[in-house]
Amino acid sequence: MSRARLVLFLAVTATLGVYLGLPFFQGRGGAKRRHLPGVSSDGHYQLELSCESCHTPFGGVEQKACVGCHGGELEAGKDSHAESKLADPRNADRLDALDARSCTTCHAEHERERTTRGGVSAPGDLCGVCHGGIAEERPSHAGLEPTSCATSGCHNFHDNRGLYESFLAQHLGEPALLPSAPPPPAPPAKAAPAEHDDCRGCHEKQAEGFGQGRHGMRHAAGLGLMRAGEARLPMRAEAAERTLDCSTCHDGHGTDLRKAATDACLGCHDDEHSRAFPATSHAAGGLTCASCHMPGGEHNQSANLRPTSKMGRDVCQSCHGLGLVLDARADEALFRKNFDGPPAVHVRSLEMVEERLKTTQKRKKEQR
Amino acid sequence: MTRFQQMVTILVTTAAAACGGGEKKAERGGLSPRKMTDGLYAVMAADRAVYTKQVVNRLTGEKVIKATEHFEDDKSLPLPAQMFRMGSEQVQQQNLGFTYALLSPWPINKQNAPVTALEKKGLAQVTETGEVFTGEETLGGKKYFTAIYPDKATVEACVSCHNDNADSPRDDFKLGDVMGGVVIRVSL
Repeated sequence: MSRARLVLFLAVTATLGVYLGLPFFQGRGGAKRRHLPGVSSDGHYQLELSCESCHTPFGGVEQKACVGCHGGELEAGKDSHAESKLADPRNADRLDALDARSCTTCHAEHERERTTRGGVSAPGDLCGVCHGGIAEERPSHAGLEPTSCATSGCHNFHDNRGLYESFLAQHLGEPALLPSAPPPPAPPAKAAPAEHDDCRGCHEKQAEGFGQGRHGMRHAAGLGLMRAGEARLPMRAEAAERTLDCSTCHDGHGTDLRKAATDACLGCHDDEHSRAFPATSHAAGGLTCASCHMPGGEHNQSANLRPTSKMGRDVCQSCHGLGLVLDARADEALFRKNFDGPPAVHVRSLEMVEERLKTTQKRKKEQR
Repeated sequence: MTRFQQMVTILVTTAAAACGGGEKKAERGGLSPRKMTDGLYAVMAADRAVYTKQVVNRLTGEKVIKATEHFEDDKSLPLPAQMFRMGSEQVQQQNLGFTYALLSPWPINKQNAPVTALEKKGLAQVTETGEVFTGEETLGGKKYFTAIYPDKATVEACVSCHNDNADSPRDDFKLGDVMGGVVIRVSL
């Protein structure tokens, strides 16, 4: 190689090396965007410039990266498919077909085009790898679409606390509005004013929850405060530059909890569901956005949406029978109207449970 | 490769295997896989028996609390089989070179039915003879010593709960019946 060519080769290599490698020495920031292999998922796009949140240098994405953020939630939800349930060597053949021990098997990142709203990138019929013979055990399931296990509103891969059969059986025959429904909540009182920096000192739990939800996860990852304009959900144009921290909702110069519970939300969120809320019977009855999305003061507003059966069990069922709750959750059009009105969709889960109980009782009676 | 080189290769390989096998035996403290599974089973069986008799039977008999499958929601006690499985999952996470499971040819949860060829053969034999079954199997490219211990219905609650459960394939279990087996695997 001639000297000129060697110099050219070294110059090009050095330039490429600096262009590609320098972002990794600059801390978390925008220069890393050039390394993104694809569009990030809705759940993680806020962290996409913090590669190290998920990636271990030369180690790929280790399981502990997922468990570090999501492990507590999975444990609290009594994960139906926890790694400890799957790792027994007796499952070796099934794990060869679908390694469900690893989060990234079903939740691949940077592949938004094949990722569903629930963050699942695996084929919809994945349940069949282990549960393919379900129709033999449950004749009611014969003929059901293999891709409908988790999309029908009947099952969830991780959290089935609001969906398991005995739970459904306990709530058979409930009316749409429970007679034991609590009265509408009293308007929240004003709290004492507090400075922003003071918040975490006294409100550790709320601050932690905030950092786990979509309002605060970017700040928790050290990437600065989230701006409303950077959200993927529709936001009001005038709120685009608004950054999210405690004082965004709680008013740094005072703490009007009424504002925090609804007005602060609607000051940014501009989707159909949010816009419909003020005119709903729920709003007229004294409920707020926070009543459903932040029950008990939970500041991780994503917590009871993964899956939505969590909101059903912990919130909706406080006032409504399970039958209505299942139907309402499955009605996309009703969701957009912020659940103002009866559902137009029906989920047969309760009927299926009732039929099976009757069939089993009859069979056992005949055998005796 | 010359004949001399072949002989050297064989000798070196044999010596290495012998040293490695010795290491494995030394790591288990000289225990054979069967002795190891016997010891593990003795602890598992004792813990479950104590929980069943001294906690579940005593407190349910005195009408203090019930034992149900969905114990968190029902604010009740875990069933003995659940206590056993929760322990198994905890051990699983520690990668200690062995795993254990409670399986049955007549499971309430069909995921607890035998899956591997050895499990099917072993459980059939155990439920018929009431004797321990052992064997070796290769799963996922790894070799295991597998022992299956008969799991008998030692208290009336075992029998009545399974007989009454909607998902149980059998409703004619009797006290003393072998209802399934404890399957312990040791990696070799």
